[in-house]
Amino acid sequence: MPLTGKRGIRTTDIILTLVMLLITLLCLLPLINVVSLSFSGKSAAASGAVTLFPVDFTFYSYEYMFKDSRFFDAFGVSVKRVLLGGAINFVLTIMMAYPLARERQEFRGRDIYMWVIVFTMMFTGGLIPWYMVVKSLHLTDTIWALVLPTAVPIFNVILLMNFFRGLPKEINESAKMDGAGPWRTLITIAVPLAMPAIATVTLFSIVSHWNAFFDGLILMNKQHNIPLQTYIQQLVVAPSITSSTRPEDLINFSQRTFNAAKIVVTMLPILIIYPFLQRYFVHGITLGSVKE
Amino acid sequence: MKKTLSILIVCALMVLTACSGNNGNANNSSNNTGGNNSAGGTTEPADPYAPMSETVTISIGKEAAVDPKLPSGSTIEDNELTRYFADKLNVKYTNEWEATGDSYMQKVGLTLSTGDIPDVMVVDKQQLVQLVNADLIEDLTSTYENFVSPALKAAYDSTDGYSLASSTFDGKLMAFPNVSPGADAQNMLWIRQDWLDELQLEAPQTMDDIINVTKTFMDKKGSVGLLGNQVIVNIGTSVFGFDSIFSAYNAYPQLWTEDASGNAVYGSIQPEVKDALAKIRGWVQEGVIDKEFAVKKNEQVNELVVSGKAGIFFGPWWLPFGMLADSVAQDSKAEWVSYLSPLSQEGKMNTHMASPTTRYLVVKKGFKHPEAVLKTLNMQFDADQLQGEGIVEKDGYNWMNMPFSLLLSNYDDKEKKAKLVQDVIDGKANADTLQGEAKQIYNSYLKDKENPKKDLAAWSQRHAFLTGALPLIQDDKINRKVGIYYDQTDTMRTKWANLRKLEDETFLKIIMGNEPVESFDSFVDKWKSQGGDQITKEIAEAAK
Repeated sequence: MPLTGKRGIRTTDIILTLVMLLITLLCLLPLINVVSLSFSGKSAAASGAVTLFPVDFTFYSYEYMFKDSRFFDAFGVSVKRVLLGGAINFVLTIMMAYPLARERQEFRGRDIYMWVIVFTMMFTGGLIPWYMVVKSLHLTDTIWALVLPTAVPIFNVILLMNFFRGLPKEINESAKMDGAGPWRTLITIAVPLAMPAIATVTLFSIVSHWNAFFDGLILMNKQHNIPLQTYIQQLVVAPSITSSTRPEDLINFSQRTFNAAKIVVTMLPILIIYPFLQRYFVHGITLGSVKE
Repeated sequence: MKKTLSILIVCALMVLTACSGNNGNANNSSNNTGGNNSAGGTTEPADPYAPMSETVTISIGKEAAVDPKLPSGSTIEDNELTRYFADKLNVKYTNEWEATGDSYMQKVGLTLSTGDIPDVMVVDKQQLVQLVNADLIEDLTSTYENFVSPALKAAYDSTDGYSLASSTFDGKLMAFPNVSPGADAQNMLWIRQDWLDELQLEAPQTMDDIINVTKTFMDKKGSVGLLGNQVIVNIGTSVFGFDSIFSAYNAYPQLWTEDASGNAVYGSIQPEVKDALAKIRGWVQEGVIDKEFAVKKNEQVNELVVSGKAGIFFGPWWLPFGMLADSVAQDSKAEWVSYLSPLSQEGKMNTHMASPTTRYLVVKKGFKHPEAVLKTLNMQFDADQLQGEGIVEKDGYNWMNMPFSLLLSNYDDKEKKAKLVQDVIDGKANADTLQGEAKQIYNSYLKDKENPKKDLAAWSQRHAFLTGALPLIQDDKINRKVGIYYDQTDTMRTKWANLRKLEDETFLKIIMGNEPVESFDSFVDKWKSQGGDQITKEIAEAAK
């Protein structure tokens, strides 16, 4: 009996491994295809000959891209946005989550704030009011238009708040007894303890800043101010045949190799950051999700 | 908890009222500016190219090119082309905002809803109507009469007055329309001439010939059948579309035409369409047309052409610029030739024509110098005819890098240029007579003649014009069906999407054999009762 039981486990193991392998491949193959497209010759790509390995190996797409000044403008905007927006998110998320994690007796209006915050998660003002607010604050065409409207990521605040609530109250009390004010408690005790959760939400905000394209599309008036993802979006979204009457647009269909190269370069920064923050990732989310 | 909720509701109401208040302000201010619309043009001398006496600043809602080909040092707002125009006309062009492609139209929509429009922008017909109704744009009638250049006027006249008429409201010209080349909508038969020669076949003339050649290609060359893609018919650009098959049977789906007694009728519900559908259905069943055509995207069909698996399809003149060049790069033996085919029973190739005008350049109400805008357009037309020759040096030429992104060309631009070059090649004219684009084509011809298929850019240009566009000059062999109406009527705005869906689905089901050909009749009835009749009436009214 134990023998068959063991064998049973082994077969499920094999099946599971195979399924997981399959899923991994499903995720990986499109990436590999894009990478090999970016190193392939233009006409080979257009003939559909490129699958997993580059055909007519060439660096031409990358050379062409690095000649395009707009690409670097856009890259710069994106880097600026991630650094500035990430920092603002980081500070505001912590400063918002910490007080909200206090008991109701300590922070009287806590529930009202909570309601207001959750309300903004459910309802938005809509595209045009949003645009008009940003415009009348004279933020359009500045980096602030990209970082201020998303300065407080509510989801992250709630995640972090739950994590803070999960910290033992005794730590707070003893800190208080030793004479630490709220600021000191936050900076020297709560934040270091919450590092996994903070790393997680920071990763969230970095990725979302890096990936956002729509606000750049609407709020940036000059092409040299658009972030990288907006730039890529303009290139990659193929004009539908019915909406376009200009042959030039349709000819761009055969620029698959350039587009692939751009996608690769855009992916790189996140690919590089991810492994460093990943170890906090799973840990952080599950810890924060448990309520008191 | 109730208390907090009520506070929230109050907050929400405050936000809402703030918005509507703002809207009111926007309207007021636009009315105010509407008051002082003196036409400042009358004091200027009526020279279509004279510089402005004082520097005029024009703020533009600019559609930028996706790939403007600008080196560092040049931007969309400030490049060799814009600097040239600014110098010559004493005008300062500033881009209030820039966007590309679809997002440009989104941005125009946003601008309209906030009421804060730039001096000049390019809109579509629906937005134009909105702007006219809201009285936000300038009447350009006198500006056009006084300042249009002869060349630009000729271009507008080349559409038989259609372009200007579609921008005219109550006798007033409210916008400068675009003119796109008519060649774009006329599909021809593209075929691998090297395969024809190898198999010793005649160039196909009728639809039956085409089917026979396709079958031979499939048998002997192992190619796929006649290509098609998701879009069965599209007036405008229709690569791989079946438009040509329909028109060979005198059917013009999607085109609003007149019947024999002069009534407005919709092309897709005519009995000829039924016959054509039955034919196509038969070929799909036979396998001459690939059954999977309905799920294939353009890109996937392109692959078939480039990889040498297809040798016959319908498409417009400019294809050598795109995938055909890739095809030649893959296989230098590939010899693509276009024919005026299929011929109808009268021995002519039938084709629908697209609207030459889909975009409109509008000038904000109260803008003092509309003539500066028209002078810019005068010069833009000339610069585009010369393809930027003598203006751009370091920057690559792209017409969208000029101040206004409005495509202006002669309606018969492409075939005319091709003919000019062919005359030189045939020794009927002197090479010195060629200018601008025609000269470029001639140079490409010479280059490609010396080293065939080595320089693909030269090959593309030579081939697009001298193989693709040149046949279109034979007016006696082409029967061009021009629509009587290309815009949207009021009822269309609410009902057209559904009618169009009904049409597309019915056509597809019939072609794929899922429904009998007779279901076409019930489609016609449904179409009429679901708003089609009403729309027909409106169009008869509008087209008068």
